[in-house]
Amino acid sequence: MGNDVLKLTPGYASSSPVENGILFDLTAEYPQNLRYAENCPPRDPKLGSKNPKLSKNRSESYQWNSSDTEDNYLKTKESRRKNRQYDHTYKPTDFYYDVNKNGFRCDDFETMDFSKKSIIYLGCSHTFGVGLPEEEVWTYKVHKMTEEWQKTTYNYINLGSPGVGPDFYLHLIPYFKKLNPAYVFSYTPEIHRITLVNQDGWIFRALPEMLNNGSMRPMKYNMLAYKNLVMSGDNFFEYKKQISLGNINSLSEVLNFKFTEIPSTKYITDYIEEYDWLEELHANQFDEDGKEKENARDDAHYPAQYHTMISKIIMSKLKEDK
Amino acid sequence: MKKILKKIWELITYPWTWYKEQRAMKKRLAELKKRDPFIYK
Repeated sequence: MGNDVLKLTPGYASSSPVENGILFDLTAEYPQNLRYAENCPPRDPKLGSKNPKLSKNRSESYQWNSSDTEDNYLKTKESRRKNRQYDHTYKPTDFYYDVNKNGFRCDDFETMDFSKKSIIYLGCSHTFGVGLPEEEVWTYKVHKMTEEWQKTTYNYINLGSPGVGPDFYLHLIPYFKKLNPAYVFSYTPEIHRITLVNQDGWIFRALPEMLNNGSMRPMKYNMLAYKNLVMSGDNFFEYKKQISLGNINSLSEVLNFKFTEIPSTKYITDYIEEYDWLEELHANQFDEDGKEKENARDDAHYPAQYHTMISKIIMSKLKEDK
Repeated sequence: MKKILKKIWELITYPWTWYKEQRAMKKRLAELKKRDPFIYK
C-alpha cells in the first residue's frame, strides 16, 4: 500500500464521532478494527475492569463490549428470574474480551510468526464472540479442529468486528498477503449493514436499525442516501457482498488458500437439518421442560452449543469442497 | 403552467405521499429486523 493513501478517522455509530479521534490509517501495517475506535482511551467506565490474567500477547481487555453491557446483564438477569428461565450461564467476571493492539480478539500481530501459515476468520459479532468466552466461539473451535485435522499449528487471526457487514471485508483483503493464510473462514454477516464515510471523513457502520431511531440525524445526507438504498431493495447490498466474497475467492487462487463461507442469515437449525444434527443440538440445548439451558451473556447472541454447531457445519463445508 | 399545476398537486398530496413513504419504510425495517435480529448499535 502506498504512503499517499488517504487517512480517515473512525466515527462512532451515533450522532457524535470519537472525541480524541484515533486515525483510521488505511496505510497501517496491520488492519484496524473499526470498533476499536469506540473503545479507545480515555477508557469508558462502561467497559468495566480488565482481565487480571491478561496474556502478554494481548494489549487491551474489556469486561463488557458491544451489546454485552452491565446494564443489559442486570436487566436480563431480572427478567430471567421473573420468567423462571435459567440464570445467566456466565457471571460478569467469568470472561473478558481480550483484544490485540488493533482491536481484534486475537494476539498482537507483532507477536505472530508469519513465515508460519495462518487461519483468518471473518465476520461480525458472532465471529468476534460477543457474549461468550473466547474458547466457546466458533472460530476457536474451528481452529482447534483444523489443527487436529492437518496435524500442524496455525496463527489464529480473528478479524471479526461487531456490527459490520460483508463490505468491511474489502478493508481487510489488502492485508491477506502479509497474514499468509492457509484457510480463510467467513460467517458472512447480513448484507444490509454497510460501512459509510460521512462528509467530514468519519467512517461509521450503517445499520437499518439506525433509520428507525433518528440517532444519525447530524449525518443526514449519508443517512438519506443509506435510507434510499435500503428502500430500493436488496440488489445494491447483494452486489457489495458478491464483490467482497468474489475478491477473496479470486485472491485464494493467487495466494493459494482455501476459502470457506457460510451466511449467518441462514438459521442454524436449517443447516443442522441439512446435516441431521437436530437431535444432538436439542439434547444439549433444552432440558426436559423445553427450557434453554445455556445463553450468551448479552442474552441476544447464540449460546455456546450453537457455536459448536457452526464450527461443525464449517468443517463439513470445508471437507466437502476438498 | 403545467409545471405550476404539478407543483400545486405535489403540495396537496404531500401529506399522503409522506404517510405512504413512512408506512413503506416501517414495513421494510420490520422485514430487515426479521432477517437480522442481531442488529445493535
